[in-house]
Amino acid sequence: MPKGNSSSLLRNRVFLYGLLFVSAIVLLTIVFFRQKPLEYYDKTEYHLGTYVTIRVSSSTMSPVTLAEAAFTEIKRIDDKFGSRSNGVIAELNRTGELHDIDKETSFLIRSALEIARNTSGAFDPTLYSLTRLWGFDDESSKKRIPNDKEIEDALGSTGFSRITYDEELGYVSLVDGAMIDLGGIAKGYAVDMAIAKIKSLDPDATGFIDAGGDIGVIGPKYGNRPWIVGVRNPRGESVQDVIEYIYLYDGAVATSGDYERFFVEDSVRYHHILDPETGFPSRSGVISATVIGKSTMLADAYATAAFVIGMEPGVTFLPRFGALVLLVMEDMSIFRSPGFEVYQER
Amino acid sequence: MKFFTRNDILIVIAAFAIVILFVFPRGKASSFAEVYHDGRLVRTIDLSSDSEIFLDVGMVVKVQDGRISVIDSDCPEKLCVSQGAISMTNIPIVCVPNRTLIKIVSSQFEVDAITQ
Amino acid sequence: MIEAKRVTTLSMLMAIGAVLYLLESLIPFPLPIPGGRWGFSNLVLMIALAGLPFGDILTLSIGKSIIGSLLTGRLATPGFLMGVAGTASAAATMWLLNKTRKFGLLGISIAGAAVSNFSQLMVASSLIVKSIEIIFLYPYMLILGSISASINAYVAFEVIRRMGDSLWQD
Repeated sequence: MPKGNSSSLLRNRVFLYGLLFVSAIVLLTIVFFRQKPLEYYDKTEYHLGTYVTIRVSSSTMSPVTLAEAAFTEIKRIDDKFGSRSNGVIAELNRTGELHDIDKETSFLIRSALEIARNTSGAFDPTLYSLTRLWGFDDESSKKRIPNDKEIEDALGSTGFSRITYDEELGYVSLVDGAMIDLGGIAKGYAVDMAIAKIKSLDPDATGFIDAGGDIGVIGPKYGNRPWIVGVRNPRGESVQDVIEYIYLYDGAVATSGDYERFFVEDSVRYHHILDPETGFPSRSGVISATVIGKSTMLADAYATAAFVIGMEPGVTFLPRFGALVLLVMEDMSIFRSPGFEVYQER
Repeated sequence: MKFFTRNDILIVIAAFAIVILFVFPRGKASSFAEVYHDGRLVRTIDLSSDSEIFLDVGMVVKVQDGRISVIDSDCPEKLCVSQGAISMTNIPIVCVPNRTLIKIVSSQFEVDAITQ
Repeated sequence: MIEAKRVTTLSMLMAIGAVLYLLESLIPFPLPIPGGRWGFSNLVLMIALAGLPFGDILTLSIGKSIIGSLLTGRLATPGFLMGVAGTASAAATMWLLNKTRKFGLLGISIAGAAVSNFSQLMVASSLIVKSIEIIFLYPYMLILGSISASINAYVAFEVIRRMGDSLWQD
């Protein structure tokens, strides 16, 4: 048997080969971990009065860039239409009429009016004075039960029929001191626009945007799997308590529930979803309404409407406008509009 | 050169330890299987109902009695077919030529987001 | 050892290794891993361990895999890559353990098999299936690998005992 020239040389070679061997294994392991399946990037920011989470992945671009572009878009819409903004809507409410409104505002007003008409006013973009009366306009506002006189006065200046809108002239006017509030659809619109922004940068990007429970899908998980969305148990202890599951490849889902903003007085729960007819929190027997729609804006607005309409025949018309409804009633029974079950199968 | 030294016992013990360590966390039975291709989840299969499913990676899987097996594959050796049915989370079916892995997963519901 | 003798011995061992490689592929491997092999062809590595330098052992391990794959017609399959990674890492491990002079053939052989199986699975999981889950197959591979490694060790021991001197002396 040949022997090493000297024992120290031998040791050096043993050491060298040992090092090579170990580094080979380490390299192999690193190679494996680098080739993990497509990773999603999560980013959460506070906009539109809620936490907005963007989860995105792209094979051609940095998901960080995509998320930042999307947040820029959301912030722009928040600044323009958000409740605290001093933009075109505030001006309209101050002056009562406006000429030559821009296309985007025009689109939002038109969409709001269309949804209001479709739902016979169950969704109403003019409820701001009522909302403020109850103290639901802001987290910090003092919440109280207004007296009948106050409600009656407020009802005198609400109702979507008090908006006159001419699309061709770009002219809007408000009568009886009505105030328009696009907060109800601006959140969904912001999500939709953020998705459009991401899609314009990378048409094959996948992921979703979650704006306080209103979820719009950018693209299917890993390109071919549905996003699993849980419907929050309206009487659950925590947000994580889920009663139903929805599988979304595209489109959007939104939920309105009486647990979002409410106060309890004399063991009666007064929540923030007001019935435009009575001016009081809606008492339709619904405690949570979830709507799947083709855009987040529609899903959000129709969820509010479905909550107010309740299990009346009216709600069965909503699928006609592209809104599939799941209602959770006070006794925790669940109603689904035909077609909703398609989204509950994997 | 010796056949066996005292130090060899260490190696044998280490090998046994690895086997026991890896095998000990016995798998759980579950009723959901996931199919991965190239490391990406391509399909989830419910094992509670019997079915035969054609996977577009070139394999046909069969679900029977809560167990899943590959009954046909276009790979040359068809080792995945000869492996038979699995129903536990600890052993996956692997088809290297098709770059496909079928494993049993313990839970169906991993919610990505919650609507509220 | 003179150069001609070394080359002859290396070639002879490689030829035997390739034949063993061919023969062992006829024995069904009971685990569903392509390229999963009994590892009997690593026998020649154990014999070479006693007298050849590391470079030659590495050449031997990779060479017998290539020739063996040519014979079995599986040169361009994922299994081949796994086999090469496995046998090369086994060669390195066995050579190292032999250098320490603290281990017998049995231990060296089993350790080689363990490392070889691990490399095979790592190659499969990182380059081919891209899922770490197939590491769950490792203990079963290790059991089978240990069996064939023990047989290898014994045969190698007998070979070296009977003709080791004539192999390595000029």
